[in-house]
Amino acid sequence: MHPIAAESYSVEVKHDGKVHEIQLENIEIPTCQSCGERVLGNDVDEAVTRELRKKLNLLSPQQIRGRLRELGLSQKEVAHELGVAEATLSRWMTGSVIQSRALDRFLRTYLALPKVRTLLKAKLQAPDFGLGTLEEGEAVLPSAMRDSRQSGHAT
Amino acid sequence: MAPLDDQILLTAYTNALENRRFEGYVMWAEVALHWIRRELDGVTANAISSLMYEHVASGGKIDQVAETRPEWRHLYPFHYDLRFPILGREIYIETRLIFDNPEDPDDPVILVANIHDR
Repeated sequence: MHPIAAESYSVEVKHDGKVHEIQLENIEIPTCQSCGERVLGNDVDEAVTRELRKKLNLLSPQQIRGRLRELGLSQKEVAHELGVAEATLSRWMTGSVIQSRALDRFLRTYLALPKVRTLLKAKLQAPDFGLGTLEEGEAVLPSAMRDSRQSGHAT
Repeated sequence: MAPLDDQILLTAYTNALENRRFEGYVMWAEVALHWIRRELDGVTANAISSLMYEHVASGGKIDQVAETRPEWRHLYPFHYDLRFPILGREIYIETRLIFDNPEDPDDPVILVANIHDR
């Protein structure tokens, strides 16, 4: 393979059903000595992904990993509370799959607000969750406690 | 189509995939990388190389196909094809195996020449 300096390189990338034009500048792309075809490696693929994340303002794998570490959260519990497979979260964290914008926003909210994390732990299985507005303070009560309080039983 | 059962070739193919996270072991023809990024929403080429590894490591079939296209035949006698589902689509992946030294696990390179729906 012969490396050649490319002026720029562009590729169309589909994300959330929409196609985005990604342009990379000054990237070296080898050419196959035998067939003359341009051949791309991990570096180009990763650069395309980085540019797409930047363009769409999506959390990077490093940011997700770092925030989980800061908060002392396991992949397993985060995946459970977000409602995604652990393998899916793992792929976001290695960068092999890019999270959708909707899930990126949900993930940011989850990572930014302790109340959201507490709420999800407590309310995940409640069938009426989201169908009404929670009172301040009620959000952090496990549903079992709330139910017993409503029925007058002390817990 | 005959499955790839030559142990030397199979080992070389697996070695290249085991090195997939390092630069230069799984390479992509421009047309292949463009197809992935344009067609498989949110999926990177690196994710495809991991799926290729999982397919091969779990005993999935690799078809060894004699190259008949005149523009390729003098360069590569065979291409190696994988077929497995990605995002619910049945995908065909055409690859070439490039290596000189069967004793060196870091020598083999896979070039993904094409990828598309089956």
